[in-house]
Amino acid sequence: MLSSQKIEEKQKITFKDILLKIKKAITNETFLYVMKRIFSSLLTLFLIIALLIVLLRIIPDILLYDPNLYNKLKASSYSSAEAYRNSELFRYGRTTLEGRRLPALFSVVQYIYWLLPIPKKIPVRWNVNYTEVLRYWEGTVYFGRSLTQPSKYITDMIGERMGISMRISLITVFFIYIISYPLGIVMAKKPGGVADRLGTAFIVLNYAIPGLVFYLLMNSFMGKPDGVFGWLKAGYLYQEGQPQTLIPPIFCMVFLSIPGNSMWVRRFTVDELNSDYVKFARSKGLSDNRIMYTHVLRNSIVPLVRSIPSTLLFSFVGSYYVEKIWSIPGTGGLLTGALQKNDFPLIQGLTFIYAAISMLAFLLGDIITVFFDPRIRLRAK
Amino acid sequence: MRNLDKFNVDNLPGFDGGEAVLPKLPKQEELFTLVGEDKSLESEKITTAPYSYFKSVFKVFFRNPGAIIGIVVLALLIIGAIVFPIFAPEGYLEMNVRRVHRLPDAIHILGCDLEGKDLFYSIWAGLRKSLTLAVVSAGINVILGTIAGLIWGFFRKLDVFFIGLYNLISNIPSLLIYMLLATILRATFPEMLDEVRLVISLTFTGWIGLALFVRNQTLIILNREYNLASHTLGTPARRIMTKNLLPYLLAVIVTQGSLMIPGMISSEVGLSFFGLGLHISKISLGGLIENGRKYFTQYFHAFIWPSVALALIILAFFLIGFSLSDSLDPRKHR
Repeated sequence: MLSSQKIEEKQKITFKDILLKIKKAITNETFLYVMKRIFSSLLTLFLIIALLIVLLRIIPDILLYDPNLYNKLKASSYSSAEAYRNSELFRYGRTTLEGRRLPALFSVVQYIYWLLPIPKKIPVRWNVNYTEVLRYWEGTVYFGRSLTQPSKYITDMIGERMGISMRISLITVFFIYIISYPLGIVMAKKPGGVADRLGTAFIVLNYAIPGLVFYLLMNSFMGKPDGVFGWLKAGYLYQEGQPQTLIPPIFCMVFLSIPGNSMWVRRFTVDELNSDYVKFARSKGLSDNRIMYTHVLRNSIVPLVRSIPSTLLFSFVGSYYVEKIWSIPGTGGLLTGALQKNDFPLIQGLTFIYAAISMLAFLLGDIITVFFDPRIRLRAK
Repeated sequence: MRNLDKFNVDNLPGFDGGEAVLPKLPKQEELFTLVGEDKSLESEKITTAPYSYFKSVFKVFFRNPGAIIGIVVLALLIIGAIVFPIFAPEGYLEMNVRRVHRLPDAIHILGCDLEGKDLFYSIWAGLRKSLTLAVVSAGINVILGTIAGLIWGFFRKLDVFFIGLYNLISNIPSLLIYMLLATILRATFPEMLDEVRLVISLTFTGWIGLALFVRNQTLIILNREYNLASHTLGTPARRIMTKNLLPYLLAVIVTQGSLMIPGMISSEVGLSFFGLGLHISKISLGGLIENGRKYFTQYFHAFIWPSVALALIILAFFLIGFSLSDSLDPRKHR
């Protein structure tokens, strides 16, 4: 008897509970804030796409097809020359197959339709005369197809290149954090002391080194088979399956990124050390180390935690200089290559992905800081 | 404004529904006696020097050895960049097939580069060009950023618009903007000078970072009492911005500007690397480094000397900027 009553009660409560929970979740201020941020991010993304497409439209037609070939064709027959130009402009999404010009707004709407997560079927390959569709793309979110490597989808291009870039970035980030945090803390312990002065000198000198120059010098210096670092067998170029060839690029990136990070760690730690609670703890007789490691570090790391999601999410983008100099087949050169070759779909796709990830990373960074610091609250106005 | 609510008359003790109940106090003369000033006493004299903000800033700035090194290096580089190209022997700054990649000797102290230009004089000429471009771009960025930041911080209703703009610009890779702008400007204005194109590329979106910085600083100062007083007295917005806010912000803006210049010089070098720099006939640091980079394993001198010049100029600006930001902090004025 009793047990069945209990179950009945429980069932009643659960139903109401769910309603209440949903209501609570919707009115939860953090949830509202996150929803607002996501909404404004989507709006910004839309604006970025529109702006980019308009900017790409300003590039005159003559850069998009070969004018010499056009003139040659024109000498023999006008219609074939027009057909050639039309097919080129059609590939760039400026005209229809019949040669009618499309407004930029149409391209914006079309691109957004491609990106919407609904199942769709898009023609991707025609026969030579563009009279018949040979192949369709089927799926949900479509980023377009590269113009310079026509058989490849943009997602595939990024997918096959991001592995190596990601591996390098994650190792680099690991070393940067491991070196720069302790360095910053050691410098902050005694502002104006020997460690602080040496560290500041190192940071300032390091800032002055131009990245490109440093990479080139290190490439020839560390790669020399009979040089000081010859025992590394690093070589001048990256080779697949030989992880020691990655040592010079990773060393360079870590070396050049230490100053920025450790300077911020030092600054936040010094700020915390000057605050009242530290003076209070000291007056109560706590040891300097105890104050540092149980109180100050936790607070000084809060502003730095914000950047962790963006570092992790952007790890798939490689450094352009490094990947070019060591000839690493990563994602670093994709955007510049696309810009130099006027590969519009690749430019659009990459910009969209970078922008979306950077906004997501900022939002995640804000959410993570709330977990690290209960004083901070996210709330929609 | 919100802080004033605390001092609402109704909340003060002793006010009970409009009727004041004050305790009776004895007359002042009964409690205190006038002592007068005794100038002979040592404790009456102020022995420390009077505090002046800018005097202290200069004192701290010039006490820093880094700042002195920075200023000396920068002064030498600027004087050299002005003087040496004037006295360059004829033909030394022009292409010459017979001098291509000539090694350093008595006539050409630093040798010659890929195009046969004398490196010693080219570096000074390139330094002058790069420095001018960087100072002009940084100046435009600082002016635009300051104006936008003041407006952004002062008129809170524009916050939504500016934050949207900031999100828009900061989420597009800057290299994309540089390269797209370069392509568009080259195609639509073929007559445009390379220098103008470079400055437009560098200033098109470069000001937004400084604008955000100025906006944050403005928000902090705007809540101070003297601004509240100005606001209550009905001072027009332009006057508050130029007379109340700008003098206060000037020091921080100068620091940001001096830290921005090395970034602009590096950007010029980077753009030359991507083939978006100045035309080959014009000498700039970026062009020299790019020329040296192509054969740097065989002809090391053509690569390292322009790089050293670049490193020196960046170092000088960073030293000055860091020392300036250090000395502007009143906590260090002791």
